[in-house]
Amino acid sequence: MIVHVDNLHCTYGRTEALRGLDLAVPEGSTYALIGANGAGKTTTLKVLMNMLAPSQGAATVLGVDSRRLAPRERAQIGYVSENQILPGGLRVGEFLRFLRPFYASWDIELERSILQRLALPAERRIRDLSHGMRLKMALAGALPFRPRLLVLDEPFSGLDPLVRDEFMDQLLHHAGEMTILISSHELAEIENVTTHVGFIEAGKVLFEESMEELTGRSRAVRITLRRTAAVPAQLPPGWMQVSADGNVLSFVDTRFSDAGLAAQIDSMLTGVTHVDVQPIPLRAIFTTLARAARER
Amino acid sequence: MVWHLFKKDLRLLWPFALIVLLGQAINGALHFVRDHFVTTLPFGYVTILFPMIVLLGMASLAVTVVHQDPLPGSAHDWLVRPIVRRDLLPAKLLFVMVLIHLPMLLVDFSEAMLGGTPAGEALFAALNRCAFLFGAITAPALMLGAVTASLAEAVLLGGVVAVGLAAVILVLSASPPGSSPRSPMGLGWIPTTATHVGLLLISAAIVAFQYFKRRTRMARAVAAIALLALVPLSYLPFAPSFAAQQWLSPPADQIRIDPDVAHPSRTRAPSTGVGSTGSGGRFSSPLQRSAIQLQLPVRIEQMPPDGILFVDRILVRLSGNDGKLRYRGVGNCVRNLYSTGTACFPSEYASAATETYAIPLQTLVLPRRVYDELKSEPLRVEVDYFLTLFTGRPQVSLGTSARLHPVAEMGLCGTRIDDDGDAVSLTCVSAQTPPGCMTIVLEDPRTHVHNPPLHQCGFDYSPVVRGPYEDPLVRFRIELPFSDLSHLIRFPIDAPQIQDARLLIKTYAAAAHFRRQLVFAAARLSDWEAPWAQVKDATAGGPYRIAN
Repeated sequence: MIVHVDNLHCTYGRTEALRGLDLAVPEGSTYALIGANGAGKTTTLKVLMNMLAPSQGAATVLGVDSRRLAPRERAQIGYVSENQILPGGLRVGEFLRFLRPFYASWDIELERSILQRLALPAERRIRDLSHGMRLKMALAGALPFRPRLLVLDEPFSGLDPLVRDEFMDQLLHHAGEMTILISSHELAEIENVTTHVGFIEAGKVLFEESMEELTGRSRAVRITLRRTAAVPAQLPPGWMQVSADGNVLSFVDTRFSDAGLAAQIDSMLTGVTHVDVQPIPLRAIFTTLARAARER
Repeated sequence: MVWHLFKKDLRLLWPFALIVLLGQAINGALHFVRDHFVTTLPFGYVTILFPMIVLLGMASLAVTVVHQDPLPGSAHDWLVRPIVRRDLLPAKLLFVMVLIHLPMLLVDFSEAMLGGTPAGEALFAALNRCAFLFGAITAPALMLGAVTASLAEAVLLGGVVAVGLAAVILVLSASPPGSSPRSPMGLGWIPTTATHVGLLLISAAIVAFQYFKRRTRMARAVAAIALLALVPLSYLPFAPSFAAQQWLSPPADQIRIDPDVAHPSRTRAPSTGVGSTGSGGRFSSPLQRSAIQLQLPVRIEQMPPDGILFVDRILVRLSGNDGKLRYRGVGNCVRNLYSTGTACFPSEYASAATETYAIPLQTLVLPRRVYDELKSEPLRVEVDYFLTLFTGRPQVSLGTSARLHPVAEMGLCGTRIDDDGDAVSLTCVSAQTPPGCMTIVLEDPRTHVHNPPLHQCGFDYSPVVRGPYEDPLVRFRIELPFSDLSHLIRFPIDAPQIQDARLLIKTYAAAAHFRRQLVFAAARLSDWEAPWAQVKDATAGGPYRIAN
């Protein structure tokens, strides 16, 4: 595992932002840390980068305790955040030239190509860049040294579709070369690159698994009955967002299997005329799980 | 990478650094012009206020350079970069040294050199100011920068700390002035230096802690507590200050102070208590009116020629036959007064709590009520003296209208007849601490007729110029009157002779600091009453003034 987190706690004043968080990011994966606002995603990433100190527990990044990340490890980690404060007085080109000597693996050709692809004006001061341009600037400063691990904290926040596309193009261009740990609300954007998902709620990871497993076990189900449908009093544990409309019963099955669903229908419902099972996008899985977590 | 980080900060802050550098250059030029060309009062105010602006600019620049890579917070880009913190801190220090202190050193050195100060002295004075301002301004500014993330935050936090410290100082200063235990007069540089060294150490510790641990809340708390703990250091009591001064001083073992057993006992005279009701209110303050002056039978031997023995403080203990302590008093010398042979007269600032004055060595002033109670009893009298020996330097002479030029041991001095035409004004600019005491006399070189001498002291035992906030030099001015415009007094050297007269100046420097104890095993205070003694008015200080 390139990132391993064990029982992590982090407290701001009286607020406990992380409450025993566990996380494991496999090397080479694109790991999406998803969760509602305030769930603890940014705090987790900041602890991993040693920007914040945990109050309990430990995290290892590249095999090193996050609190002891040395320049040698940092030279292999790229970090981009929507809140990242860059030296505003420097010009885009100056900033990249400033960064070069810190990274032995900095590729100037790659830097130029990224600048060109992201359409960043080298002579403009960073403080004069728009929010989107600044995020692209941060990405431009995180890729040319070909990091082993790229940490992205809400990188699409406030970006217009065009900039998102440019940003994603760059990510996709480099996705195979590195591990990406990304926290984002823009699930539609990352769905195609994500290989693993961790769902974080109230400072804890409720589950983490591969994208394949998650999408494989999540289905939107519509059951048509002969009579008027009603929500059963006792629901199987994987059924969420259950609703009845006319003679149709709809729900999201988060523990889907063909045989399992058939058995559940047989035991709970009668007069079934039609069963429609559809795969659902990551965004729908996230909203279903988030609502369920909130209702709990 | 230190140089690389330095260059980045320079690229970002060069306009600010240039403004501060220009401010320093203008400040040096203003002081040079004040010393040599323009002496008007408004211009003098400019030379006092402008350095404050420059110092503020320096402090802001130091804070800002730290803020280029702020330590508090968790959003700054440098935190995720492979930047070694042991490179970052030296880079900031390099910036401060190269862009604040190096220009300061060059400007100060140039100012002193252009004014005619010898190169060695000019360099020493410039280095002294550089070191002083690093400890007093730049290092605390670096500390403030290390615990804040923006200039606005630094101003706010700095303001809160300043108000807090001011409140503590106000409370500590609320005690009666005479009872303050703080080191008086010439020793004042020791608590001041200790405070500045403490400030430097605290700043260094907090800056290092922040750069290597980055725990802002704890750093702020520790800094606040440490700064509060520093305040009492500026009220360092006399004893440790004098001990430090004594440790730095060469020994003066040869000087002996003993009870003069051969001294004839004085006859007690009636109603001679100094300032007693019957004596017509010779003294202005209640403290002085209630005091009595005694003449101790003391013999001083082995004094060096041209030496002056000055009492910084005396401790007096009077014990009865039974060994019981009957009276204990402390007297400080706190005013810049001078008298040949012994020094320091009673003053308003003498210890109000104990009502004992430090005065000429052989003289002891006691509260009248103590005297009245104990005067006839046989007493054991113990007097602890804390003494400073001043030794004379060769006499120099100056005309009464001389331009600034080097004068041995005094710096650059010039004279002129003042605007009223009734006094000679002597002005000196020096890269060293001014002479402790001096005697000046106006003399006609042909006839050797002279006016009464003027004795002045501006006690400061500091080995270097103290608190050179404005510039590296220290200035002092003495007015030597020679004419009474009301024509009531006629001086031997008066207006008609003044152009041909000359000033003879004899300076004295502190040479040694030491303690002596006098014990009178069985004494009767009434035997020491000095009916002829008159305590001189302590407020009769001359116009000797240290302007910097």
